[in-house]
Amino acid sequence: MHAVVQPLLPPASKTSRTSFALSSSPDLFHSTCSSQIASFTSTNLSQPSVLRHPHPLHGDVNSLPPKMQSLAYPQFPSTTVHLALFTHVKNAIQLRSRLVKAAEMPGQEGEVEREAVNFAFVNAGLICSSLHLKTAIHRALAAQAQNTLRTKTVHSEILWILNPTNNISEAIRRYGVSDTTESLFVIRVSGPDLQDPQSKMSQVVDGTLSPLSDLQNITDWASIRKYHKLNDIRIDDLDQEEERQWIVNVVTSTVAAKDII
Amino acid sequence: MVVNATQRLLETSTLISQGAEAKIYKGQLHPSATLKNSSLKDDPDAIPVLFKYRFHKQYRHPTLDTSLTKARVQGEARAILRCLRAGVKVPGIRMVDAPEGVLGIEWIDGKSVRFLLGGGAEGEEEIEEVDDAVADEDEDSEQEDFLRDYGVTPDQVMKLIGTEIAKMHKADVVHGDLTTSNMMLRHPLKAGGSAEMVLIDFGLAYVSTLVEDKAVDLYVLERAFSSTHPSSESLFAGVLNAYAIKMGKDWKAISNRLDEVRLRGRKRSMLG
Repeated sequence: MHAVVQPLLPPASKTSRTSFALSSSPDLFHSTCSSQIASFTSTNLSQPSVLRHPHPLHGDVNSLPPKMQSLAYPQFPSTTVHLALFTHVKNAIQLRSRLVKAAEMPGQEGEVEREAVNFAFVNAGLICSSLHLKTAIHRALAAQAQNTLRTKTVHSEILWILNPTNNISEAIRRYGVSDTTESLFVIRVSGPDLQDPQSKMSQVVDGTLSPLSDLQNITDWASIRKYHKLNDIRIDDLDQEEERQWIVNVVTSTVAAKDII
Repeated sequence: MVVNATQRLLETSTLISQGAEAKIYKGQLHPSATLKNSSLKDDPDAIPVLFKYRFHKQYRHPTLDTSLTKARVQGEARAILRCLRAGVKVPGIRMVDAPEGVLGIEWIDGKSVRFLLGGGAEGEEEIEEVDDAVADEDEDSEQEDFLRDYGVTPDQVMKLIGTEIAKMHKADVVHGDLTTSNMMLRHPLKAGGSAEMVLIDFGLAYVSTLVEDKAVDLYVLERAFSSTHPSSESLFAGVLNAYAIKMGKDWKAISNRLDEVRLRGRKRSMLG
């Protein structure tokens, strides 16, 4: 029995070292293969794996390192969304000034610099669940597809959608990078053939790439309550977990219904 | 004709039910990440979403149709949001495309109260946001088992209904179409312990502070009860009891008005 099962699970069982190497391969990020095994096999055959530096906190070959997520929306065939969470970000101050400078830089140099920082940087403290963030991303993609962007780019649109008011600069101040930001979501909306977005992200952000589940230790519930004006509302008999689920639902719904409020 | 993103989204979804006003689809809003060993334990990508698509009505002038559809989707979303903020148990909003007439809401894993109380399947002519229209050729005798599966007695269901409606009315939202098919019990396994009552279909909801509107809302439910569940009519008293407790001092006025409404019906007198 064991011998039968074993060959079916190459990544998890005996070839974990190989799978670690493969998982760092950029090719996987673009793969939209429905079957993981199939995608592993095809990657294995088509491209020799490139082993990059193991992650400092996740050097153990038995656990896969945290990675950027890539989302291919069937309803938006020409776009792919790359999404990663960075914690312990050390260069928030420099990053913010770099973003401001890049916007004003003239000529060819400016184009290159703007491309280098062409991401949405979202203050992870104000995100209460990945559904919350993905709802905002979806809304922004829809606005882009319909040519109804309210801000200049799809990336700034994500920040604007996250903020419950209509003020763009307030949205960027609250939900973008600030000097004290330590945890950041880095999001890139691109065509399907962007080369190695994860290393492009790592070049810009000096922080630790973390699994999205780390969000639960990052969320700043007090600020979310404040910005969404939920402080005066008292719901009877909810324990803390239920209350947080309620906040997630309210906040996600507010984001989803952004263009009708 | 240009196919837009929302139409593509519906094409990838499954049609569950259709009424005169809208079609109901079950689908996915967010793709699963290409990463299979996703770091998320409760991967929200896997959660289905319900789409309520107010399709184009051929019998209406296109201009009127567009503006009506848009206004109704917006109205429904606003009513849901208002309820949510007040802590009323309603499905959360996941997507709105008002010009296209599509509202994406949280998928509730459960059954309608109508089904659980043995009111049978929903008629074809009515719109419904539940998945029970697909599979319920079951016998009436099995209803008790279903209710037991949800870990509640009919009396407890009545209490949940009354409390939830009172919370909604306290937020000054009037549902406009309270029936047992527009209430769902979320399965205890999905609700985290005990069954949860969720109000659905805010297509006719509006905001009002008037005692009259709230009394009529209750009256509509009372009538719905006596027609869909004739054998369990006495249960409705349980709804009103729970409602009265939750409403507190506001109950007196609504109770008096409800008595008036019972005498005259839900429409006001045409005289005077």
